[in-house]
Amino acid sequence: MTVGRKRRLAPVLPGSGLTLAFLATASLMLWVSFDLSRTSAWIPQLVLAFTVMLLLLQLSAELLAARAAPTGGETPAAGGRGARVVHALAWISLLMLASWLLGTALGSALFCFAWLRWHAGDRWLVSLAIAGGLGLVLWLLFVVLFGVGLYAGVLWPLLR
Amino acid sequence: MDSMVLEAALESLALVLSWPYILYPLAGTLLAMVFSATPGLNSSSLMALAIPVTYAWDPLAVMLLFGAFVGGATFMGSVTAMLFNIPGKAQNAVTLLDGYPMTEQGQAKTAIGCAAASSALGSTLGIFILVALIPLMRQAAIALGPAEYLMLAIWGLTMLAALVGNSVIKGLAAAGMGLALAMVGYDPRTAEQRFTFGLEYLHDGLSLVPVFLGLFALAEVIDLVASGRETLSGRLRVQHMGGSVTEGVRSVFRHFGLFLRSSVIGTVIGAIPGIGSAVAGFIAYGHASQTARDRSRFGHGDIRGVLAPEAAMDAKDGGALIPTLALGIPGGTGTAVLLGALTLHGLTPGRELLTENLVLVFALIWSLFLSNWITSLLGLALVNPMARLSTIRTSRMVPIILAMAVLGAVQYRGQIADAACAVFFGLLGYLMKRLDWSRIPLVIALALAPLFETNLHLTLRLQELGRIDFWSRPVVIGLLLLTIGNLFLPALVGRLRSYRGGRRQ
Repeated sequence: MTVGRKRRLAPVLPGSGLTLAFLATASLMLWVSFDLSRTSAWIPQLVLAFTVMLLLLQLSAELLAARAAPTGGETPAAGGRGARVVHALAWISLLMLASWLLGTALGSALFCFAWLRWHAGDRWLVSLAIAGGLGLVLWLLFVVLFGVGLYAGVLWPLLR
Repeated sequence: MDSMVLEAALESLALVLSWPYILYPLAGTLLAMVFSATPGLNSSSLMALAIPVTYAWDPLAVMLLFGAFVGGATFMGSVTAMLFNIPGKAQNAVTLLDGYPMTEQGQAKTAIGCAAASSALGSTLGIFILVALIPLMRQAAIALGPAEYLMLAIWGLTMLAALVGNSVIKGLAAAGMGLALAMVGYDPRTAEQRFTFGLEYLHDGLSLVPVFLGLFALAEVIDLVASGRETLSGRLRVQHMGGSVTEGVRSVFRHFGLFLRSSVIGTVIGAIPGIGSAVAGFIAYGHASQTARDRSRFGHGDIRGVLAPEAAMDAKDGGALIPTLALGIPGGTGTAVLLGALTLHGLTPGRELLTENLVLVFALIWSLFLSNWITSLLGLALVNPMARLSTIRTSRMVPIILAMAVLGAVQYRGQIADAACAVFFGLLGYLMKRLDWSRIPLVIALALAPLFETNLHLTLRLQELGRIDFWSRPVVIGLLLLTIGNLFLPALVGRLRSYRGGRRQ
């Protein structure tokens, strides 16, 4: 029976994961709103109660639809897509880290170089040229043309 | 047209044509063309990327740039649809029905010429209608009170929830999440912190810039990487183009009645929140095929199948600005991001914008007008290099867009946490896209939340004090009925269809 239930719920989770996440967030916010003063709380409570009700309706509809649909595992294509998303997020984290440490212009250029050289497999010279071009364009656009200072990062002030 | 409106229109035209302001529509159009010719990207991504860059600019320059973004977005997406059978955006899908068969028959230039002419002329007609309605919009904006604005916000949200995506419940829930997320931070009335969970970053609420950058720019890039496509269009070369541009332009005048009808369809549909370009294009296409004497060529390379949707999709831009500027109710993602940009520059749509800042409104309109013509003329001249954009390797575009998005998020307030916020919303946007949750109600709810919350509070306060009677206001009752219609009509129509289908079987 447990196996049967697992089989029935397995295809529901990927599709309903977002509904569940929304439901958890809205419920948590609704719970927290009871600590607020009456004046500050009533509009969020109205909105959140309505949202939770709708999300519960949506979740039940998804569960019912999944029960009716034939079961099937995750396709290899979907698995590959998921891996590429994780890969993309890892690269984005690297970009954020580089920007935080070295500032946005240098961090972006370094990230671009690393992506082109090691992710895309471009030649050293091409990667350097594109990354250098990006850093230069960003500096020209923000600093020279618009006169806006770029985020300097945490490392340079420490080194100074 | 009253003299004040005419004066503002002329003053604004003089400003738009003056140096250096003329550069903004030109630069904006070129950027919008590049983004719209690139499959996987869109004008909303471009607008989101531009908000942090333009934060310190004067409002006139911002209006000119964003007007050009709105105007320059549609046509180039149709070029990739006609040449590669791959629409730049979902809305351009309708153009490929007859545009791509024309390319296959060696008539690509004729199709592109027709699309360029009907796009420029269609947008002009849409803008004329918008300008003609400005005096009326001003009166309406002045006459409406908090109760009407509250109902407009609710009507706008339910309209979007009902029309966008495949489920009213999902649409309403996404709108609810948008409203809830907008309530994070200080309560404007009591200064009490709401839903900050002890995080200092959330004290001032979620900033729209990283949220927009995440939901539109980063989500699209993640989707692009996840798709595993080698090039943006999946093709490596642009194919040979035959036919005649002049013949394409002439065809618009040969079918002038169809062009006029399609443009009016586009403007009217644009003015209704939530019904995007795609619907305008498909309705105009359906109208063209239904009213044609000889329908056999539709879907096999009929020029009218290119003309009608292109005219409607570009005329829609003028219509979409009517509720955005007059009522602060954005019609779609593009106008929602535009609304966000206006708010960040201290411009409040509605009464204030249409009375005190009418020159800025006209700057936006002139820029929209110019960019539509520039797009069509430049599009014809640069069709080959623009089409090559979609053959660029994905791996070379992705790091540049990622870097721009993260930089945009950080630059806005100089906080690296904004980049993390953008990444969070990027992942959320990607998941919403993959799992069939429309991002539009969420974004528009975020933009409409201040209008909703302030006017709900004001309306109830005025009602308590006996200053207004909510239930005796005709506009409120009308909007309430429309809201109920939005919620229950789709289900009713669905039931009716399945009942009819059942009876036929």
